[in-house]
Amino acid sequence: MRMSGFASEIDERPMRRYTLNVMAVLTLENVSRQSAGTWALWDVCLEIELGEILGVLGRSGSGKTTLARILAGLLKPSSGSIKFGNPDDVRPVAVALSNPACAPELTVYENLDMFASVCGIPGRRRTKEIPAMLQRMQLSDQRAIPAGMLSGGALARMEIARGLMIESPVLVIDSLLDRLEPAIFEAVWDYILDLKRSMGRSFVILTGSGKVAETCGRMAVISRGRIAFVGRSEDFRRLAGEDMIVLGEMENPITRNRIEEHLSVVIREEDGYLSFRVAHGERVIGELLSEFGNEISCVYLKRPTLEDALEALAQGGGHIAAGTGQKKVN
Amino acid sequence: MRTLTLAIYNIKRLLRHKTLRTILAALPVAVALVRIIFVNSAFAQGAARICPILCVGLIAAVLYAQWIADIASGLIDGLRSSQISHRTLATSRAISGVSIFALQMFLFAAIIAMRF
Repeated sequence: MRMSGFASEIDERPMRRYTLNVMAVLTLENVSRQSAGTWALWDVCLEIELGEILGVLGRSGSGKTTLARILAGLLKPSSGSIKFGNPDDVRPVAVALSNPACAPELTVYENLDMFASVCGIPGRRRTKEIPAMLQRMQLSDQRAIPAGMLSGGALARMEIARGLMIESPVLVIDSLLDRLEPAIFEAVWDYILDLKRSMGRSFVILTGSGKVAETCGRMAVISRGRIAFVGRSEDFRRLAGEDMIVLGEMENPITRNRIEEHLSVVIREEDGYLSFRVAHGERVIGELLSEFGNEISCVYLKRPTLEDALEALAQGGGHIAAGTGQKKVN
Repeated sequence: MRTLTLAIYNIKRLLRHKTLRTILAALPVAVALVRIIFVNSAFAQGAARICPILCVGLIAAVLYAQWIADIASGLIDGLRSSQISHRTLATSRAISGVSIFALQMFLFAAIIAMRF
């Protein structure tokens, strides 16, 4: 996609590949954080593996930013511990914060240059990498504009660029990808995948968007400061119930009974539409169309979203015991 | 090195504000001009004597306001998350303050010297 134009620049860069004997680059063990008398995080256990992209999905106020600030070293956990895969790393975690860090008087270029220089990136590399990063983030046109005059989306891109430029085995991105337009999101995501493949970097993507969480390899769900789920997005989605298949008009009323018999389902009438629920809607639709395609005017598959599952989780008290690869269920 | 880089960027930031730049320059210039024009005035002499203190006070107030604004904007958090200690941050701000003070005093001394 868009990355092809940057391939040569990436190749020329002196790459640091992160390798470890132990696979976990970051381990959170029973991390809790109390602030103003309430527990913003409670007994969080997470393990981020080398070259992994972990999405942490949570609603506003669920504890995502507290988690990001603890990982950034801006807050100390009240209890529990954080272990890094390689204790010799000077900067074990880079964090792109939800509240973008910028000097409003400095231009976009100067902001990135300031952060890159204090992070020890030499001048020659900075002059090469910053323009490439600005182009990647579609900020080239705004490079000479003071950061204080940028829109919210452009600020988010600048903050992501800042995080991506810092050399560290793990990059935490707090709720910034949610603010990107789809086309820019794709370009940024391609670059994240490239960094993952070429340098073995790991990413923790904190998000309130189901679509962003879905893109990550593995996801965790944070609810009321607790990790409620760790596993595949498909498994979490099932919390919101099974897929719903909505049927269009049927010329022959007997068809309804035949479908019920054939698929062993119960067809209900909701809001004037006939529908039924099944576990794997995409498979059933194929079967339905091959058997009854001539008798039904249309078929519509409605899959529950991760947001629906998050809603179901909130209504159910915030705790579930599902998922794969979960280290601890609270 | 990081401290110096941050100090240079901080001076840049402070001097980008037109009003602030004017105020920082106007204080020593005004006091020095009063001192030149009213040579025998005790008030002018007193003002010239306390001018460095006024400049230091002004710079301290500006740096404090900037620090508060930077905390609110998230810049301090961003720098801290880049493994920059509070001490480095504070030292860089102090260096930028001292540099601006030096510029003010140079301006003040240059104008005072003009009478000779």
